[in-house]
Amino acid sequence: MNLNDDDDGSVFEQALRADLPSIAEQNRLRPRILAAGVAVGTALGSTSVAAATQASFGASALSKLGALSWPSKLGLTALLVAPITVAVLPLVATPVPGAEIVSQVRSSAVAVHARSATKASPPAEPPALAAPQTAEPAPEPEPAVVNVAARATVAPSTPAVSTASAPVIPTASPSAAASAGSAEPAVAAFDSAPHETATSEPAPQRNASTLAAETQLLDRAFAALAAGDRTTAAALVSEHARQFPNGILRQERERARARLAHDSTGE
Amino acid sequence: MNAGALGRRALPRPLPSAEPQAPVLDLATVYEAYFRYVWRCLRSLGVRDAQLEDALQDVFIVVQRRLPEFDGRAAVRTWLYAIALRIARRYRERARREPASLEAAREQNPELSALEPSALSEHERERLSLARCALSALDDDKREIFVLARVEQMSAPEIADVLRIPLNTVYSRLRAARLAFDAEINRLRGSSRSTP
Repeated sequence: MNLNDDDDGSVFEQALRADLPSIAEQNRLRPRILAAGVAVGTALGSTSVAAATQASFGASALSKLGALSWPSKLGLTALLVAPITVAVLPLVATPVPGAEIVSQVRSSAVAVHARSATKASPPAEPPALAAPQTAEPAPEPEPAVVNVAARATVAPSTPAVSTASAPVIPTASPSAAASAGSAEPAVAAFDSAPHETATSEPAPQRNASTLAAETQLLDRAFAALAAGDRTTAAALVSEHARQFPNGILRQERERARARLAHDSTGE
Repeated sequence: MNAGALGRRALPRPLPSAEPQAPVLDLATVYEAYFRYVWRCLRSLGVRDAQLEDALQDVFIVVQRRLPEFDGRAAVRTWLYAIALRIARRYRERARREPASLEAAREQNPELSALEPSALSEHERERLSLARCALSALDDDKREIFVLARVEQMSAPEIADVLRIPLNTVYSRLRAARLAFDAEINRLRGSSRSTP
């Protein structure tokens, strides 16, 4: 028996079904929600990588890397889209829908990349995407992000990463292929992104470095929250408020604050 | 069947982890495809308008965390509703614990919501407002099953899986929920007619 095959319901039920948000509302919330996803995903990635480096290599390390790949994947996607956006936007007369989120996610992803680069030298520090470099032996399952992240700081032109597991954001792929002009757009775009931002875009780079610092603080705060360490989380949130009172991620800071307050009430 | 909706129960047909047909999902894709339904679901389930953005963000944070576990055995929408349902419960509980205030009371009244779609005609808006008032008069169990079945149009087995209740309970509870909803609508219409 189907619950809905008797009729379409009363006009009131139909009214409830038609109560959907506008596209403008969806577009308005996209940066906030996806940026939060990047932040949380990165925090998760840190935890997974820390665990993976402590474990022996082999099957368990592979599974950890598998768990790590999603946040890295989103970061890679953003980096893939970033240079395309920079190249394409000036040529397009009308604004591209979603361009705002592309730039937002790009910034977040640059932050992720920046963190990955800075954490590469002192591997003792657990966070983010540093560990994949030490855990490099992982061969296939979803190595695109991991390997590229590692290589981007060392040998940008190294090819040979499978595109099979490249992240799927529909708007990214075609332009990526066009811009890279190869069968490995993800790698090419990723590799070129850091240099482009480093040489020709000083202002965005400043934003990116600020966002990198913000992301790092809030990542650690969310990780502390997830681990139940409220004291550390509160300290990190306060630190973020002190350093970046009007930061790009201030809404995320408020989210963290709300969770702290909520946890303290006993839920 | 959506026994895997919550990612817990085993199904007779185990899927290999690297199945080539497995859907490729990422947060952006899920957001684009399902944001509107999650928004509607949360709102129908009683999340206050002022808390709606936070609740949406919480849903997608959970989605982000759980995506690696999502194996495609359940429909994505069912999986999302299971998440949204639990987030909405948390927000309702939180709202009940908060001290009542004029602002909170205003927010809880769907008629005063600032989020009513502006594209609606006055007649449609009035109808929606009435429906939301009737929905808010249902108790939580009835409200949840009513929303899942009549608004989100899920099947009974899917609802049983999401709510973790027996199938027969789904039918009986839904019947009661529809009766209560209709009665509340009639009451509200009667009272609005009698109001000068």
